Amino acid sequence: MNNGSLRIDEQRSPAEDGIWLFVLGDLIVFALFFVTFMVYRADAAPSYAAAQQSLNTQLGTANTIALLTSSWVLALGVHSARLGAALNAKRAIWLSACLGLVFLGGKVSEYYLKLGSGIAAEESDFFMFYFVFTGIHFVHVLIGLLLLSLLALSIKTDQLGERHLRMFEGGAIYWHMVDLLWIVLFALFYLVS
Amino acid sequence: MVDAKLKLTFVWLVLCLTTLLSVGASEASFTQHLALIALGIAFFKVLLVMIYFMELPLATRKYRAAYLGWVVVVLLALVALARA
Repeated sequence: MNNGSLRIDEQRSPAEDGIWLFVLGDLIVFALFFVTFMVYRADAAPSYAAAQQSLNTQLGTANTIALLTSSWVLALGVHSARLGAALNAKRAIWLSACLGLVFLGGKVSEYYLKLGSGIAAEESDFFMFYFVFTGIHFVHVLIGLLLLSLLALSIKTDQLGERHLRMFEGGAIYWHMVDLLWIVLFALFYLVS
Repeated sequence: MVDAKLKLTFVWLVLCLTTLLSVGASEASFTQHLALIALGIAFFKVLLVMIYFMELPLATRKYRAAYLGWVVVVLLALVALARA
């Protein structure tokens, strides 16, 4: 300890090894999703492009910005935690979780609008992939929110121990994975025409 | 640490601006290669998130190789399928 801050070796690997392996496994599963979508799209590009027109790009963009901002805030929180500023880290976690909720709100309203206009997963291959893949991603965001909430609630003092810090880093790595998966999903469903 | 926070903020700004750029390019439809542009920008953003937010350069060598390999393989596969 030095002036209330943790001495952290900046060159050490963030988080436990297991979280890197877990996230890599999730990335591989989603990579199969992405490739499957593009294989089917290659066979029916015009109908996919037509279906894509009915997605709300503005809402998708706002959601992307919300998730990117959430990731940025959490990354700042990790740095605060390394400085020993536990209260700032806790605030960053809650703010990040709130932005995650904004993302979920955006997705729910998008689903509601689609279903309200009679567009469901059975509508076409495009919407089957859209609802299934963004739905699985939605569940990942929910799990991330649960992890972030547990992390924030577990910070009860104004100091963070090494074990706590590594848990925080692990949660942050998971949350950034959720962010980067959405970046690719957003490009595939909303932008690749 | 202030430098680190400034760097993260700069990366976040780049991520937001490239998001708007890819949406703008998609809506302007100025070229037939929009799919490639969208995928290129998306994977550039993925790399930024991995390097600066996840701090991949600090991970062990095997994970650095695996994550960067994931980016390269998935991008090449998607680009090949987009051109098919």
